[in-house]
Amino acid sequence: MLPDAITQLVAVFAKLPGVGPRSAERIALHLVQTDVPLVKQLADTILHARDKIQLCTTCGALTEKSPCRICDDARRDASLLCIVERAVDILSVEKSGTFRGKFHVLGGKISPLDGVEPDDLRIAELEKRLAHEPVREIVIALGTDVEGDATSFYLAKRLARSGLMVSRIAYGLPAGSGLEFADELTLSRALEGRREML
Amino acid sequence: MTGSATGLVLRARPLTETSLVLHWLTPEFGRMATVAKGARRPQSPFFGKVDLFYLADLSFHRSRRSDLHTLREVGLRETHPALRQNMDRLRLAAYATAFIEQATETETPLPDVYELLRDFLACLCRQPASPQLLFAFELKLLRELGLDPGQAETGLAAGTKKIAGILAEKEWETGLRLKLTGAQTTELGRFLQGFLGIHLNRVPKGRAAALAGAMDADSPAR
Repeated sequence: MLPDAITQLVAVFAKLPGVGPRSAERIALHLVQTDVPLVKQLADTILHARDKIQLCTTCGALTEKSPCRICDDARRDASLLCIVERAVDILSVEKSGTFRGKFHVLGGKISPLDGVEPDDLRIAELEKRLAHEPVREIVIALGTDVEGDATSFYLAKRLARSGLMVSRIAYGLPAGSGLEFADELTLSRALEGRREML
Repeated sequence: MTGSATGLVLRARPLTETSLVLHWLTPEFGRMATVAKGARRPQSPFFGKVDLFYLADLSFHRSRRSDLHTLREVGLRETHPALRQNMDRLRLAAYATAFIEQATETETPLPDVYELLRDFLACLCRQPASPQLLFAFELKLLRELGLDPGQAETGLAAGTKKIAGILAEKEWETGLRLKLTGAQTTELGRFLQGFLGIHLNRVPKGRAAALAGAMDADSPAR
């Protein structure tokens, strides 16, 4: 039987993403047997990060100061704007190392089943940016599930205006995988979106 | 114990970082939920095969302790791609789901309701969203539930009542060929809203947005 304090700690850790009950117990037992200064440092670091991190008022990214580093970077291509669903998606696009434009976080996707409508997302903020920034192309980089796709089509229609190109990232096979592992939809879209090689 | 069925995915929700809970509508087991372990991993055999309103053959391990069964295999039949490309259609499909969820019990055979939704989604992929389609679904489902408004004192104008009868009884495409005036659309829409509110205690979620989208999509200005 664990003491109450440890049980409470396990319950808190088990709420974290990717942490199951066994991992939560392991972390809690480790922490209560660790040197107090180290535990204090961990607690302070978590509180400090939570306190400092905010959403960029321009793009919606996670940042310590607003506007964020990407919005403030004059070397980035201001004519290119990539729309992502969540702030963490910016990290995925940045890791690819191929996008040099700016970002806009939508904050979710339209989900009629869950009652998420366009007004619940940062679409009005996006339209304001289009009015004030020299954006010439929007790259929609949302998920490819039914609601992600429907949101992409909705945005393409709503944002359409002269002088603005609206594109979306390509569908296709993951790098390093064979055709036998591809699902029918991905494969049919990859075929539809095929490109001339030479 | 294992089971198998053909079903439509009504909802897909993350359970863990890698797994999904899928809510199905099947003829034999009615509304049921399965966990698709690892379905969010790119290497998973479920990856790309389970999403909203997909029609698929499924096999599952029955849980003895809960209503959450374990999905074993999925064979994709139909993805209803038109729902991905049009928010008005997706709203109608979402409303149909909300209506079914509100009006039916889980784990109870629902062969007629399953067929109704399957045919509705197929029709929704062939036809643009329209108020007629929404009304036809409502009227047909109400009939399945034994709540046929045609038997009640509706107070509808004769023309609107006749339209309601055709939408309830005839094939989907027959009903969609009907041209409703703005007044008839408003009258039938209000009547059904009141009827649903009384007989289901509350109007299923998403009706107003689905109807507004359908009217907008159906308007000649578009």
